Amino acid sequence: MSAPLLEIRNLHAWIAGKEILRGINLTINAGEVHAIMGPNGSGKSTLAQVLAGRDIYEITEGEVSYKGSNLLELAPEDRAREGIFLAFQYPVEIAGMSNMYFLRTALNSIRKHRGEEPLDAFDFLDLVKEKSQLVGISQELLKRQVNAGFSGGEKKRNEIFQLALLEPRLAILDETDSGLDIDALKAVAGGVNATHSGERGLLVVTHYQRLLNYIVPDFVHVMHAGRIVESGGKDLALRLEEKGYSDWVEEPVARV
Amino acid sequence: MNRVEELRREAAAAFAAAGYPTTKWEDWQYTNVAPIAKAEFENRPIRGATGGVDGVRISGWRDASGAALAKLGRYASISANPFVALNTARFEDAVVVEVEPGAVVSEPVRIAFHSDSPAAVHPRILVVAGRNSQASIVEQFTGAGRYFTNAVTEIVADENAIVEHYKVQQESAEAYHVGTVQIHLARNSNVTTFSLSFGGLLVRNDINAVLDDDNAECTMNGLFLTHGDQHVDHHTLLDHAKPYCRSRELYRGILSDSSTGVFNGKVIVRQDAQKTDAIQSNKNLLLSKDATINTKPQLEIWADDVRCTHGATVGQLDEEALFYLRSRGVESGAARAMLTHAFAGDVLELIKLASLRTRLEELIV
Ligand SMILES: Nc1ncnc2c1ncn2[C@@H]1O[C@H](COP(=O)(O)OP(=O)(O)OP(=O)(O)O)[C@@H](O)[C@H]1O
Ligand SMILES: [Mg+2]
Repeated sequence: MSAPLLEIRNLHAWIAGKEILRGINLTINAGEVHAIMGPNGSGKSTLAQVLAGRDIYEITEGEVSYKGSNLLELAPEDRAREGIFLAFQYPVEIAGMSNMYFLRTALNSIRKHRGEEPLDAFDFLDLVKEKSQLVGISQELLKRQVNAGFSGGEKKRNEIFQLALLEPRLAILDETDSGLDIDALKAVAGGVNATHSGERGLLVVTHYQRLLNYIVPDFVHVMHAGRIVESGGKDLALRLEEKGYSDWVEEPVARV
Repeated sequence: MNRVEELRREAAAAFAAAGYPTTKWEDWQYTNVAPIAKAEFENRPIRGATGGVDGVRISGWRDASGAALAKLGRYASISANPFVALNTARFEDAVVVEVEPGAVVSEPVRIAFHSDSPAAVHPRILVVAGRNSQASIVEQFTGAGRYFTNAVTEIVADENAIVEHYKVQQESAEAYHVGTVQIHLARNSNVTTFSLSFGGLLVRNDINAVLDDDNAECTMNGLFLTHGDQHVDHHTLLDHAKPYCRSRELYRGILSDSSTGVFNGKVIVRQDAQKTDAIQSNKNLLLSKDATINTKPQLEIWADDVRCTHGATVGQLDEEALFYLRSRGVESGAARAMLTHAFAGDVLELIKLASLRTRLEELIV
């Protein structure tokens, strides 16, 4: 059997003198969809950002292998070129930078890495047209500056549009569903499903079972205080929706 | 004695009395011009200009119209700034640009100065835009080696005239550049001036405008990039003398290495100037820990029914934006360049001359 797409072993990460990830273990094989749920502050975004290469976190222990090699020694851009994609919980606004220019630069740097010719402006436009229909994003939006003045939902759609455009092997969606109405949610899920295949892996961070009706996970993990405290099938998400996280979260002894 | 000789004599006396400014002078606090004074450059006279485009007459001062000549030296003050006095005392010829009343000139008037010998040059330009005219002017400064450019440009916009003025400063890395752009706006006139500053070791630009009649509009835009040990100082003054005038000011600085910058933006709203609408914005991007910028808005408001806003920021490249770009496969250096471009874009996108805009975009890395 080939190596897993992603294998995280005993990962510990710190920021600002605080240990946020406290021994994460997680294996994702090609073709699998994993969901991570967990209370606010449990470290879900930290894990997502660490996988994408954000260097403000200090990794003190553990290993991450991606397609059989050490992921942690790669720069963020090299991870992206190797097929890792993070849809940000809070996509960044970049005033003064055209979205189309940004997307074409991103796509062409990834294509170059794959040994493909850069797309010229015309071919790029054709591709944008095709992919924008896939995720239901208006082309007007794409012509604006990167996320500048976008609504929350528009930013999330732009993330999924980038996912469709860049065609990663491993996509990590950090609360892409938060704040979306049901139509936007369906559009986003439709876009994600259309790009999913047996070769790809998907890691979905969410607070809501609702998304998982549309993006059906093979595994659901519960994260709490920097650890995965339980894993199960998609039914686990339903149970969480009902009962909350009370099984894992201790009530504070005293409130001041 | 003719008018120019008289001007020169007064100016020489003014410069002799004042001398070079020192850092004890309030307006020169951050800019030490002692190296210029010490260098004692020889004067290199600039020969007169000729040529022109349809609707515009370009000449030396000797061939200028009497009406234009009467305006030479009337606006740039020899008492307020010793370098203006020095220029006025020493300029040999002037470039006089007369835009005919009613002329709408699509082709920009280009004026280029190039220095490649260790000397002082005193370029002098007078732009007289006739009633209802419309024109654009591009001043370009280039050179090689060590020298001193001391430029003065007067722009006089008559009623309802529209002027777009670009000063592109690409002096050599060892050059000293001091310049004043002095703008006078009549009723309903509209003048936009850009200071696009890339070169020079020690650079000081004074850009002054007097909005001298109702409903005039003045826009001052600036972009400066500094590297190495460059020092670039912009002092701007928008003097609202009459009611119903607008001013817009947008300055961006990008500083690398151990370079230093100064932005001092003064807006005066005189007692008469009710309904003034003035907005000023200055943002600076520090690309290195050793670069510094002094930025200071100065508002002096004597009228009560006005709208004046200003904002100044100093910051580094946004680390989150940098990570966002890199997470999409863009290499770190390219991502930095893209963000720097985006920052400069605030000013560059306002440049209407496409060829100039493209050329300047390429200078930003
Ligand atoms: N840059 C930072 N500086 C200091 N603390 C941080 C930083 N980033 C994250 N943390 C802390 O790390 C912990 C985990 O944050 P993280 O964003 O990973 O949680 P999360 O599970 O994604 O929460 P949410 O569901 O609210 O998105 C929190 O206590 C947070 O305050
Ligand atoms: Mg989060």
